[in-house]
Amino acid sequence: MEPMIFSQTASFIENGGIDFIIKIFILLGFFIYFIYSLVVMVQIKRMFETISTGAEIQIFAISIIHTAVSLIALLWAFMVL
Amino acid sequence: MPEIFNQAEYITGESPTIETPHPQRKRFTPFSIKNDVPTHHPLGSFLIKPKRLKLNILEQDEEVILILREHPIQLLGRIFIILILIVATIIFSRFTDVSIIPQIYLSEVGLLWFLFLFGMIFERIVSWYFNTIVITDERIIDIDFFHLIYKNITSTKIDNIEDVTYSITGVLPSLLNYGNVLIQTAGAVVSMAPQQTTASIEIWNTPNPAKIVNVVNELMLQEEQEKLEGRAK
Repeated sequence: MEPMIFSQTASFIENGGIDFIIKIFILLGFFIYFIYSLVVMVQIKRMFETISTGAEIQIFAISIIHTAVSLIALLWAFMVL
Repeated sequence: MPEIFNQAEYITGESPTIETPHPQRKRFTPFSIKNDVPTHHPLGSFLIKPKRLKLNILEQDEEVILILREHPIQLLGRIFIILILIVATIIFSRFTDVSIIPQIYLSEVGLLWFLFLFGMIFERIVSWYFNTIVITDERIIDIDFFHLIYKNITSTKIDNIEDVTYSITGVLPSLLNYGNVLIQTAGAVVSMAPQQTTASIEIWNTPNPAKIVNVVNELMLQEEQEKLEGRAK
């Protein structure tokens, strides 16, 4: 008699368990990247309070766009997965 | 009868600016950069008396002489790696049978991968922008900003400097005139990094290292002069 773990694993795979795990990892990846882009944006803002040679608007704008794109990517991943 | 309004302001519409320099200190411009035009470009790596500068760690009447960053050629290393990764991704997708993987997963993973690559380039550029050395007429300030989460500001007074040397090694540095400058100080330069004290400030891969050494030497002489004349702060 085979161990129960094999039949449970087979059942898990048949019911789309692998798909579920892949989706979780992809969503986690997008979420972690979004948090990273938020941290980058906050750190850039704080550094500009210390020193700036005149490019703060451009760099901060790129950072905001970067964060917005990562948020949109995260929401898109939630919707399609 | 007291003046009701300032006549100059009435005529020109602007308040007259009266410059009151510190009574003991004079503005000093090192001879090495005396004929150089003050810099306007915000993304330069050798900025002479930059016009659009905001620095909240300066003291009163302290004037910024130079702002230094790594030579821009140092950014190319990371950008080259990113380009190789992009090409590798394209080759991988062209010559590998990925049809077994659902298209939606490929799109998601591909988007995440390219976001990651963009993040790598952006992080490198922002780190380059904020990692600066500020040379003022009183101090040398080293601002370190690594990986966007580590910030360390170290400063040393000009009169604590004992020795300044520079080195240019390699073909590319010789062609593009960038190298390393080592500033030895008398005492330990204490930084905010835990358990880190160093008796030097190192400026890596900076343009015009010879000019930087000349500027620092002139500032050291000027400090000596001010001490002798009793004008030092």
